[in-house]
Amino acid sequence: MITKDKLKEYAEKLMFRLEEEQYDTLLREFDVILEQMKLIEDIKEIDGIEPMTFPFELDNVRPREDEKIETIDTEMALSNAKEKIGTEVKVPKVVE
Amino acid sequence: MEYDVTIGLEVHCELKSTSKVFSPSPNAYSEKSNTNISVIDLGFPGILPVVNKGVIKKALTVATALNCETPEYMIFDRKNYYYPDLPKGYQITQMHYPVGTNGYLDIYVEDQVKRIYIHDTHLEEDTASLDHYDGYSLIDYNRCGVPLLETVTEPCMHSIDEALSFLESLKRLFLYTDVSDAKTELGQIRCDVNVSLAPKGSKELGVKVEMKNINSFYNVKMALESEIKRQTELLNKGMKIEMETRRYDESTMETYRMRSKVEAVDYKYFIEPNIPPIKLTNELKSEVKESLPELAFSKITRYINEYGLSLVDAKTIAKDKELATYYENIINKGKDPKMVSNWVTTRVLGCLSKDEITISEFNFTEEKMVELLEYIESGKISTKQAKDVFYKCIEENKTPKKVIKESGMEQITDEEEIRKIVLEVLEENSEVAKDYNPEKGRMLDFFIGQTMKKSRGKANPEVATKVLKEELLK
Amino acid sequence: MSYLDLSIEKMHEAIINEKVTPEELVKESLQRAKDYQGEYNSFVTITEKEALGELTKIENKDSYLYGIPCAIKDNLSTKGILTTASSNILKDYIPCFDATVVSKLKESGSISIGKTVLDELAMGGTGTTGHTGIVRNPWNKERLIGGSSAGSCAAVASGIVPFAIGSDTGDSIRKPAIYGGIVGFKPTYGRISRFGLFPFACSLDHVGCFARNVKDIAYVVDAIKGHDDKDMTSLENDNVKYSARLDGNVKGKKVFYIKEIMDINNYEGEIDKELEEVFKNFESVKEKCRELGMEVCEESIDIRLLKAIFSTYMTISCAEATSNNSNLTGIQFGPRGEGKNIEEIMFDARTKGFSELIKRRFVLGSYVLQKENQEKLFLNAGRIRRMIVDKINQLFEKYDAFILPGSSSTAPEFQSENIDKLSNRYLLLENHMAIGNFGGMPSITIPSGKIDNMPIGICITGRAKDDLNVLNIAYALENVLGCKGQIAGKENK
Repeated sequence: MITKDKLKEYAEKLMFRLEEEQYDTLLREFDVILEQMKLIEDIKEIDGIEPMTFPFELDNVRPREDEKIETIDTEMALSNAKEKIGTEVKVPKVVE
Repeated sequence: MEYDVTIGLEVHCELKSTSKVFSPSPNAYSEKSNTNISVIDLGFPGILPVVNKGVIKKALTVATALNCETPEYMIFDRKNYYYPDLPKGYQITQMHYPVGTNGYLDIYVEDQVKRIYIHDTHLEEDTASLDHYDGYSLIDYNRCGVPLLETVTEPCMHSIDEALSFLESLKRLFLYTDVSDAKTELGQIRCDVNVSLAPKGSKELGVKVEMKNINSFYNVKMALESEIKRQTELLNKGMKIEMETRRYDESTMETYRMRSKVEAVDYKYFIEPNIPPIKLTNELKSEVKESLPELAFSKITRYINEYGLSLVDAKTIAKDKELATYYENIINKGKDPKMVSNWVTTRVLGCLSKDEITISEFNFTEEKMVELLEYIESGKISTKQAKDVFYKCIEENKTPKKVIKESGMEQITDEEEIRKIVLEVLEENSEVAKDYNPEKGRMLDFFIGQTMKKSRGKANPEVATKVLKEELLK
Repeated sequence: MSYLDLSIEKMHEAIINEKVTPEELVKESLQRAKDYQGEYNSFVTITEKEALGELTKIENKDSYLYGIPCAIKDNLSTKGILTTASSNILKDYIPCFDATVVSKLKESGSISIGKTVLDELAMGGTGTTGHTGIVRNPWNKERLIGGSSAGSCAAVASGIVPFAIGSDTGDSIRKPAIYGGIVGFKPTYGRISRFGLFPFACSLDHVGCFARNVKDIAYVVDAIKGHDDKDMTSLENDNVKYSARLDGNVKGKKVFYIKEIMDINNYEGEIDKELEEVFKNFESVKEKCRELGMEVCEESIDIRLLKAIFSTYMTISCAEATSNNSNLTGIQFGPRGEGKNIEEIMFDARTKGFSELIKRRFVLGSYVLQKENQEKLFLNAGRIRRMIVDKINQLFEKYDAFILPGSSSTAPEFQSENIDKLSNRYLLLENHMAIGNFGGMPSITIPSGKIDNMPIGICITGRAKDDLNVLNIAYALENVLGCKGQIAGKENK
C-alpha cells in the first residue's frame, strides 16, 4: 500500500521535493496508475516470456574500433557550468 | 575465542586502450584537468554511448584467463545513483550478463596451491575525480569513461596472506595479458574488501562488513588487520557485528562506518537501452583463447617440476613476464636451468635493482649470457673469472668474447702447446730434472709452478701435470 | 498566393527556376513565425540571426531541401543555440554540439528558423506543459494541438514552415499531426539517428517529421536518415530514395484494422457525436483503400493486451525517463541550485527545475524500477511489450500494414483534462499508436477529414524497416482523401 510518506521518500531519492498538496495529487494518481497496472497483472500468460528491451533484433551491431581519438575544447565543454575554478567545475565540498 | 576469517574481494582495474570505453576521448592520464573529455563523458543531454571493441576484447581476455564462462552477447546495464562524480546520473556497467562468470584462479600461498573462485568479472566505466579543498571540491572529468574491469571473488579466502597473494597474482595476470599497466600508485587498481568472522569450525559465515575503495595492497593488509581486530574484540565482548559498509582511513589506519545495510542504496539496475547486444562470436572467443600467454602460475609449476628450481626461485623469475622470457630463451639454447636460474636470480636481478632498470633495458642480453655460459662449460674460464667477465661486459657494454680476449683470460688447454712450454722448463732445469723421483711429489709441484709461471698462468693445470709426468719419466 | 504555402517539391522548382530565392522564403517564414508567435506560441527561440547566417553558407542546389525553411523541436541539440526541452531545468543550456539530424539538415541546405515548443522534456501529449507557455491549435485557438511535438506541428499546420522535425516516443509526432490536420511520420527505430535527441525513453524514442503531404515527408526523411556511428541502435543504410520511389501503386496490398478497437460496442456509454463521426470517417477510408485496390481485413487481438498498452507504455517510458534525466542536476550545465552542500544544490536545482507533472512521472518511473516492484511492474511491462509486438509481427506475415483512426475525437479544448484514463475509449482508441514505438515500426498519420472544421486523421503502421511501403500506402491514400497540403485557415493548396 502506497502512503504519502513513501512517495516523499521516493521523491527524496530522486533529488527533488513536491509541495504537500502535490503529494495528494500524486497519491490519487497512483491509485489510477496501480489500477492500470492491474491490467498488466491480469495477463497470466506472461510467465516465461523474455522482457523486451529493444524494439527488434539488430543485425551486425558495430562496436567502435579502438583507433582514433576525439576531444572537445575544455572551455567550450565547461561553458555551461555556473561555477568554475580554472578548468574545473566547482561544487560545495563533497564529503564521502 | 578463536574465529574463522572469511574474505572476499572486488578488484577494479583500469584497462589500457587508445580511447575510452564508451566515448572517443583519450584513455590517458593527464596533468591538465578536463582535457581528455568528450560530450559523452560530460553526460550532456542527447549523448549516446558507443562501445570500444578493443576494450571488449581485453575484458574477454581477462575473463578467459580467469577460466570464466563467457556470455553469447555483450550486454550492459545502468546503475542509477546521484553523485557529483557521475555526470550522467548513472554508471554503465554489467549486472545481468557479466563478460565472465564462475571462474577461478590458482595461486601459490606460501608453498601451497590454492584455488580462488571468481564470482564474476564485468566491464564498466570509471567516474570523474574530485579534488577536495578547503570548503569546496573541484570536478575533473578526465577519468570519466575510462574502462574499468571489476573482478569479484567468492568469499573464499581465509587469511590476509591468501588475500594478498591473490591480489599479487591477479595483478600479475593483468600484466601478463597486457590489458593494464596495473599501477596501484596511479589508482589503476582499487579494491573493495569484505570480511566476516565466525566461531572456529562453524558452518555458516559471520556478518559481512565491506570496506570500500582501498587504493593499495598494503592498505588492504592494514585495513584487514584493523577490521579483523575490531570484529574480534566486539565478538569477544559478546556484541553483534552489524552488516555495513566502512571506509579505511590511511592516517589512523582504522576503519570508519559509511552506511549500514538498511541505508543501502537501491541502484534500480536495468538493461542499457542504447547499447544493443553485441555478439561475442566463437571466432573471437577462440582467437582470445589462443592468444593467451602462459601465465605465472603454470610457469612456476613448470620451473619446479621440469627444471627442478626451488619455489622461491621459480616465483622470483615468473614474477616478471619479460624476465621469465629472458630466462626461458637461455634455457632453450640448451643451458642448464638451475645454473641459469642462479645467474638470473642473483647477479642479473642484482644489477636490475641496483640500476633500477627492467630486463628489457638490461644490456647483458640473452645472447651474451649464452656466450658466457659456454665459456664456463668448455672450461675456458673458471666460474670465478666468469663473474668478473659478467660485470665487465655490463660496465663496458661488450660481449664476453671481447672482454675475455682483451683481458687474455683464456686458458691454454692444447696439449702440444703446453708440451712446448714444459720442454723449455725441463731444458732450463735439466739438472734438477735428472734426479726426478715420482715418490717426491714436491718436485712435480716445482715443475708445475715453473710451467704455470712460463705460461703466465694460462696453462690449464690438469693438462700441464699430465704432460710433465710423461716428459719427466722419459 | 505565397510560395511558402506550396509543397517542398513546388518550392524547390520555384527556387531552381529562380521564381523565388531562399532568402525570400526564409525571411517570409521568419516573418510569419514572429507574426503568429503571439497566437500559437510555436517557438521557444526564433533563430533569425542564425538563419540569415546559414543563408550565406548553403550551396548544395540539387538537394530538394536547398533553401527550404524548417523548424526544429527544442529537444534536439543545436550547437551554440539555446536548447531547453521546454523545461526550466535547461532554460539557459547552450549545447556545444549538433544532433546528427541537425547536421544533416544543414548539409541538405535547409534553413532552420527556430526551435519549437514541446511538452516539458517531451513527456506529455497536450502541448500545454512547456516552460514558455501553452501551444494553441491553428485551426482553433481554444483547442490544444497535442504533443509533445506541439510547436513543430503548429508551425507546419499554420504555414510558417513546410516541414518541421519532431520526436515520437508514444505518439508525440503522430497525435499532434492528427489534431493539426497535417502529416506526421516516425520511421523505423534507428532509421534516423538519435544522437543529440534529448532522451525521454531511449528504447521508444524516434526522430521524425511533420509536413503537409507525404512526398514532402519522403524528401525530408531522405535527407536526415542513415546509419550513424554515434548511435549504436541506428540501422544500416537502406540506400533507397523514398521520394523517388513513391508511385501510389498499392494494388494488392493487404492492410488490417483491429476488431476490438473498431467495435463500437466496446464504447458503450462513451459514444458521442465526434466518436460516431470518427467511425464514419474510418468506414470511408476503408472504402477508399478498397477503391485503390487494397484488401482491408479485420483482425482480432486479445483485448486485455490492447487495454494494457497504456500502462505498459507508462511503465517503460517513465522508468527510462527517470534514469535518462538524472544528468539534470545543475552541476555541469543548467541553472545552479542553492544550498550549503552538494546534495542541497542538486535538490534545489531539480526541485525548481522540474514541473509537478514531470516529478510525478519520475516518481512513478522510479517506483516501477525498485527492487521490490521491478519484476511485477517494469519487467512484466517488458513482457507485455513483447507479446504485443510479436502478435503484430505475426500479422505482418500476412499483411503490409494496419490502419486505425489516429484519435477518438478532434483536438480537445484546453480545460478537458477530466478524461477517464480507465475508459475503453481512452485505453483502446487514444493509445494504440504506441504499438509502433514498442516494435520500432514505421508509422504515419495523415488527415482524413474534418468534424466542424477540425481535422481528424488515420494512422498507418507497417513492418519494421519497411518504411517505403508505409509511405507509399499513405501517398496513395492522401490523394483520394482530399486533405492534402491543407493549412489551417487557408483553403487547401
